[in-house]
Amino acid sequence: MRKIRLNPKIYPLEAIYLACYTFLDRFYIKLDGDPKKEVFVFFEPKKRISQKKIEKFKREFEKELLHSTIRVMVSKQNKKLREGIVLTALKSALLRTHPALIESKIRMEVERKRKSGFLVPWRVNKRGFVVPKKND
Amino acid sequence: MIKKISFRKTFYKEKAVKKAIQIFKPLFEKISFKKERNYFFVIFQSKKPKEKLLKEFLNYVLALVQTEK
Repeated sequence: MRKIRLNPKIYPLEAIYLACYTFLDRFYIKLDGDPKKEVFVFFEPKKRISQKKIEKFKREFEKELLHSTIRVMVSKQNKKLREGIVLTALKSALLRTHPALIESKIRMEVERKRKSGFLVPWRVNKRGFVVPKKND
Repeated sequence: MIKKISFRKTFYKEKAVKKAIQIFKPLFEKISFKKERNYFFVIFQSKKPKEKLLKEFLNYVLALVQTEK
């Protein structure tokens, strides 16, 4: 089996898996090495191919690796946003089907925040500043 | 034919290796699984040499690791 040496500091492990997965139909692939220092991708073509094609595969693999690295990076960057969008969509769908459930959840959340001191009744004083409302 | 394949623990999950063994079990006389410090070892026994099947096993485990996260 031939091998490709990769630096895991440049290419995350997740991206290496993704790139390998793309070529599983044409090559036998095995991973080895140390994920902190050096990763080896051992490969062997399923059918007999020329040296030229093997070199071409190496270049294709590097291209795919870069592509999947960027995919992983973008996916990590957008994770919170993606989750937020899905959560909002689910919430609005739930609101339509079970409005009472959401209302009780909101009431519980407001009560919890009030108890923890996060929500304080407020008023605007003479100077126009927001100040906590005094208890009667 | 007796062949031993090693899988480094940091790259391959035990669950994936064991699942692949279950799939490939009918194709060999005997398959045994061994766990050591850094590696999983899978030992294949069969009357006829089955080199291609062994390599397919490699791919199968890798595919399982990638798809079953």
